Amino acid sequence: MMSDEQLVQDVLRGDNQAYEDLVLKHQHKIFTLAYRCMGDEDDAYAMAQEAMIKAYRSLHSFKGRSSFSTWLYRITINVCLDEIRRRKRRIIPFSLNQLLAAADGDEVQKDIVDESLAADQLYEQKELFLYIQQALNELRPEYRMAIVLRDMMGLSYHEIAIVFNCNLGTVKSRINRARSEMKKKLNERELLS
Amino acid sequence: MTCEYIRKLLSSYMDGMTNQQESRVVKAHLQHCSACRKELEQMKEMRAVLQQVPDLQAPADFPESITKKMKDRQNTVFASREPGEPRKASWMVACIMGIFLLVGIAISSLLPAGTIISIAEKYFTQEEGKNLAIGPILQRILSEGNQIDEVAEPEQKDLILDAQSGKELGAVKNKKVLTPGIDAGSGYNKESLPVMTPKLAHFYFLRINTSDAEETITQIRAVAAPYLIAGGSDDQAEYLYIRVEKSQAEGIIKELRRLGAAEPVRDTLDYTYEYSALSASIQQKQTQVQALKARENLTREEQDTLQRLNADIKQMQKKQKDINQCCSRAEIEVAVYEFSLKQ
Repeated sequence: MMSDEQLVQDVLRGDNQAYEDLVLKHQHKIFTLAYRCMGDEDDAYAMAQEAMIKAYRSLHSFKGRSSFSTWLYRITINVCLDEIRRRKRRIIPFSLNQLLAAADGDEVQKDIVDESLAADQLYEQKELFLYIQQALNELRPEYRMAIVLRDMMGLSYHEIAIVFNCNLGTVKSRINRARSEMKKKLNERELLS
Repeated sequence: MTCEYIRKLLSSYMDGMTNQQESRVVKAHLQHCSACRKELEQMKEMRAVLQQVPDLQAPADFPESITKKMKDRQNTVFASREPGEPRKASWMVACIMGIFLLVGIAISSLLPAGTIISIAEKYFTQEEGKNLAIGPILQRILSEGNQIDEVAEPEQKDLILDAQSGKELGAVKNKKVLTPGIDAGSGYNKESLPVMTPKLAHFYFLRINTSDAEETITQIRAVAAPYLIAGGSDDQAEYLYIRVEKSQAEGIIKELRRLGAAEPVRDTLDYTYEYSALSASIQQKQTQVQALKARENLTREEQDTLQRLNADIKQMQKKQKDINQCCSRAEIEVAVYEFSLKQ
């Protein structure tokens, strides 16, 4: 498989197929990142689309000082944050109802947790992931993003500094605060021992 | 060592991002503090849980949709702006107030040259970085320029609203009178502001490299203007970080204070983790020294210890001085608050 850098060079030489390859390669990560940021699949779709288009247009300014994926994450986060600001309000945390509905495609009642003790493990795991996203949605955007980039996407502190355009000290304190907040949320839901 | 100090380091410690000294301090503390141990355990557990969460799959039509959208846009001669929400006068007021009422300042020097600064220089002076960070702001200001200019025009002295005159804000449509005012000298006083509520101003990851006070203020006002959003509370101010020549820092802070209420002002000089760790060690050793000095008839061994402690303190103080001297830049942290009129 061709490297990102090679594909970028090809796009800059006018090979649009190469950009499609880049999209195919990164689409799931970008879509996931946008979803974690926006908390909603429709919004994530629109934001991921916007980020990919923006990246295409500014590809000439990608100098390879960071990896292509880091650069792409940064654009995605900026696009999402711009949208959040544009709406001039905070993202309203989704209720569990909406989250379950969004994930399953049909309506699920909130009392589903009481339904059956024999609920299969897969469902429990899915429920856990939804709780986690719900807790993420309740965090302030910069904390949410810090925790997503570090603990869910495994970026290094240096990479996160590039994505946020801030220094290492800021990254450290932001991750620290984000984790404390998130831990509090998960403890409230009794998800940690 | 206080738990509060340790907890600030725990997350970095877990990721192996603390320096040797910090790691030692944390490790020693964890040995006798079960509360902090539990904190660390939970953080590890949470990380493990979060790592399990799988990525989502982008919908099957996603790649195609991008190509289609790009083609659609290419075919449009004049890209129309997406219709935004109608501008509300109250929002404008909130926004303008936000520009005026910035500031809670802390200054911290950066790590010695060669460490953070070189890393920072490497990453933060990237051209695309600058474009990404400031570009959208400037673009938005240009697109909303007229309205903002109309009201943001008053001379700098007028930025601090006069409590006595209850000065009106230029072209604001609803002509609300903002009173009583906020005095930069006395700081933000909640009780003197019955009609205003501080709200969260939106953060922006912005780093301004400049040694020019005026330029700094212009940029901060530019940043604050379009991004103020509703929600939050006054303890959730957001921060901008401005890197300036150290010698210029005091002057710039002085200028910044003219922009608005300077409360809470945190003038604490908090250099880097390394510097803080040294401070902590010095304090610890000084306590030991005092304890020894308070006693009479020290044994030979104790006298040696006292001597060694004093030598250690001296050495650490020298190291701090070195750190201080080789920091050429200071970082000013500016809290951005939004103040809006209660409806």
